[in-house]
Amino acid sequence: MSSPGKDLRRLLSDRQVLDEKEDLMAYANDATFYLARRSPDAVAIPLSTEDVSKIIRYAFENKIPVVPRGAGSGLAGGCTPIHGGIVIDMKQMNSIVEINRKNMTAEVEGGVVLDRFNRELRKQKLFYPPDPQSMKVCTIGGNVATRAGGPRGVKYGTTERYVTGLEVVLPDGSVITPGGKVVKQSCGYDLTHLFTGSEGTLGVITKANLRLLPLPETSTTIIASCVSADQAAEIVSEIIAEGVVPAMLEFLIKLAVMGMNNHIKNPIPLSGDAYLLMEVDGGESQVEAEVRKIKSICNALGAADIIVVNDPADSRSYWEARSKLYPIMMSIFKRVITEDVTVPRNSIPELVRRVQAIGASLQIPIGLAGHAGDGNMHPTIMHTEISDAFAEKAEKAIEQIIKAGLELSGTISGEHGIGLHKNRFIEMEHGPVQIGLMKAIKGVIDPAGIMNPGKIWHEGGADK
Amino acid sequence: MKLEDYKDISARCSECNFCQAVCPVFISKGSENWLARNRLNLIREVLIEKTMEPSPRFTEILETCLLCTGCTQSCSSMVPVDEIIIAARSRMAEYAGGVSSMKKKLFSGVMKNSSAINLMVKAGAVAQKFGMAPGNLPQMSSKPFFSRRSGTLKPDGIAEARVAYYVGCGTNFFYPETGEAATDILLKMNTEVIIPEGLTCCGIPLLSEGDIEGAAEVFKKNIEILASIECDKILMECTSCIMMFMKKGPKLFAADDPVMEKVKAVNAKIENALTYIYQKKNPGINKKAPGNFTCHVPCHLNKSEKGAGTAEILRTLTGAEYRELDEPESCCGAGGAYYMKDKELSETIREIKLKDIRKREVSIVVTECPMCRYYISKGVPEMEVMHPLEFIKGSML
Repeated sequence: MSSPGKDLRRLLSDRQVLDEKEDLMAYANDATFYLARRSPDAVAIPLSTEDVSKIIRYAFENKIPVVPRGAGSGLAGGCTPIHGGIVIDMKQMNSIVEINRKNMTAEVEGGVVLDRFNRELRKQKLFYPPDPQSMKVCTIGGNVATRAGGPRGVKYGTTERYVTGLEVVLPDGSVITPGGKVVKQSCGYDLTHLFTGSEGTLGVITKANLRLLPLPETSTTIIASCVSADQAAEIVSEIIAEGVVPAMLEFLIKLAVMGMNNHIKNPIPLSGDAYLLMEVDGGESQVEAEVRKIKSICNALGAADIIVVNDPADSRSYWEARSKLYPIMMSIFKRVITEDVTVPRNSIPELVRRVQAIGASLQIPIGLAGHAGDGNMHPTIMHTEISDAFAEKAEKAIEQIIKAGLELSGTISGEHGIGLHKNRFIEMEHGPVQIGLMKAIKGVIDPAGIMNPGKIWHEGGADK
Repeated sequence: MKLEDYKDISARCSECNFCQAVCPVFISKGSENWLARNRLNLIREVLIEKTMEPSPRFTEILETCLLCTGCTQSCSSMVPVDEIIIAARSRMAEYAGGVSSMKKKLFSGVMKNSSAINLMVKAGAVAQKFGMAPGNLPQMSSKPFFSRRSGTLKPDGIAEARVAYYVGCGTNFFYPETGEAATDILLKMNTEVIIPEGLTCCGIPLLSEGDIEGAAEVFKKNIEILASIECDKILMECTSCIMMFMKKGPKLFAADDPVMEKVKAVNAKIENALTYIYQKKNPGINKKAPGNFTCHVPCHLNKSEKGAGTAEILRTLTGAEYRELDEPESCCGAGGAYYMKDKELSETIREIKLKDIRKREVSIVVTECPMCRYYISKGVPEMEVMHPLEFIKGSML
């Protein structure tokens, strides 16, 4: 009998196909195992764009779902193969094709790990700012597919700002290369950015052209300990309003800092209820001036304590602990669901108040950590138990948080993507006309509905 | 702890997949089926919930782990992945005909034997049993350390301190020159050195085969002996032994087990020999750099508080030029004796390390672990690979 695994072995080498159930289990979910777990029928590991084409053409002809996958570290269920089918594991397509210093661009394959890319760039004093906190493992392809971002969003924006071109394998196996190495382009519809953020529903991103920046000369980390979450939120607003643009501006509640402290050599003193972890970067005099300005704003608004971190090793350890906050919280709670609402920066204080009120009314702990500087908060539902009753409350909390975000003119996802996690809310944000348009586009590009079905909106496919 | 006892601890895994950054098996093989997360999920389904059969593929995935502890050490959810794998291997040994069960019998007979002189002969036999060519193990010294030095070694001058020296099996049988360097330096520092009798293997090799009982037995025996010795410090030179004494061994006993008092007392005295020497002796006595060097950090040293900063110590003591690896802490592929089980995988992992080492163009590679030392030395015959104590010896005497 034919099976995707057997068929794929005819198209690829033996080592590029997995279909034993013990292997497939590893591909049943991303970091949101609690949303859904479903093993694919086969995993294909392409080594070239041509391989990807072969796999997709086979899937297209046999109407088999295809789910592209990078590191599988996503937080929205985007690469969970809920309808089975073939998972395309892109991690072996990992060559950095070009770092073009004179054009300040790079071309990389989809499976290149972000951290490795940045280490290579640093050798040439170059810099690619987007910093999803899974950067040690996440892939550029996954970043592009979700418009991933992180703390640096406040100053540098997220992935989509750096994508100038792509190579994409379409759902019939053909290959297109929208955009390119040029840093500007005004030539027809912007397909590059249609595929950017498409979460694997329109095709497989096999290569990306990325804009680079010079590595900042220097940077300084500052920690402001605040008496309350409200005060921290006010300070964030004030920093933005004063025209200071930190490279990173992270909001953390005390509990998050306590968790991080277990992983830090010189723990952050616990003098407040909420914390701002900030970094300013740039030329030396600029950094000095911004540090002064931030200190005076924090003082004026009554922060409990302001620490300017002088030891670079300490700075690194704080940011590294911050990057591990999600798994750190899992060492304290039974389950952690991270929301991704993003609001205009002036609405941060209001969002903070509303999230606190939601937690209080439902009587569940909701943590607040996030990239406050760009309005992207990550309210976090911290499960003290695994039970239906708690799950029900968590559901309510998520819905209320999302509504609060939208009422404040925000978006339901700043950087994680929609995936499975928020597909039932997307129409609340975009309305039926825009959703209709999106589905029409999907129908044209993927008429058979094989690409990552069930994501972004409830049921994938052409026009369901 | 029994496998079932790990159920809640294992559930802390957030499935973030961050262990991709550190797992040498994943880095070499490239697919997620070889990752800690999949191992934990499979162990739960096969051995705890029993929703899946213990298939050959399951056994293969369970066995294909070098127990480098990279995932455990970097896991922010603090899941002790290596311990769970050991508990699972132990459970698998109970299934009749399991690979683990055969190995368990072979290894535990060898390792628990305190008259360990014939250890290597037997280990060689084990290797043959698995179809390994001769030459897969380091050359056994014609005169092990125990027959070179034993009892209490007294310094020429008045003893300023009194230490017990726990000699690792690697030093004893393969690299007695490490032990000679340790004792020579200590004696020169007017330290009385006791080499206790009756000590045996620390138990790490037994643990890695899932022989928890055997490991507990040897650990307890060693603890009893070390606790009975009057000394200021207990020095060790092998990073895996240190990990066994400090971290893994104590977990083999309940907190209220009578042996735990002794464990605490012994562990309070344990010190990495290099760190001890460095702290006691003013650097720069007689700086004789044996050559420029690089350091491979053994997996079991990685984040152990008892011995960080080897390179810095060596630089200070000898004045030698240090050239840091891109990835000093990445696994060399040896995994204790793992390289004998899965030659292809180990060599793939090692090649990454060797590329990194060759780029440095140094004459000496320094590493604490005798198995790393052997395995790296086989890959870079043009370089000298040695223990840090041998590296500093010339500067200290």
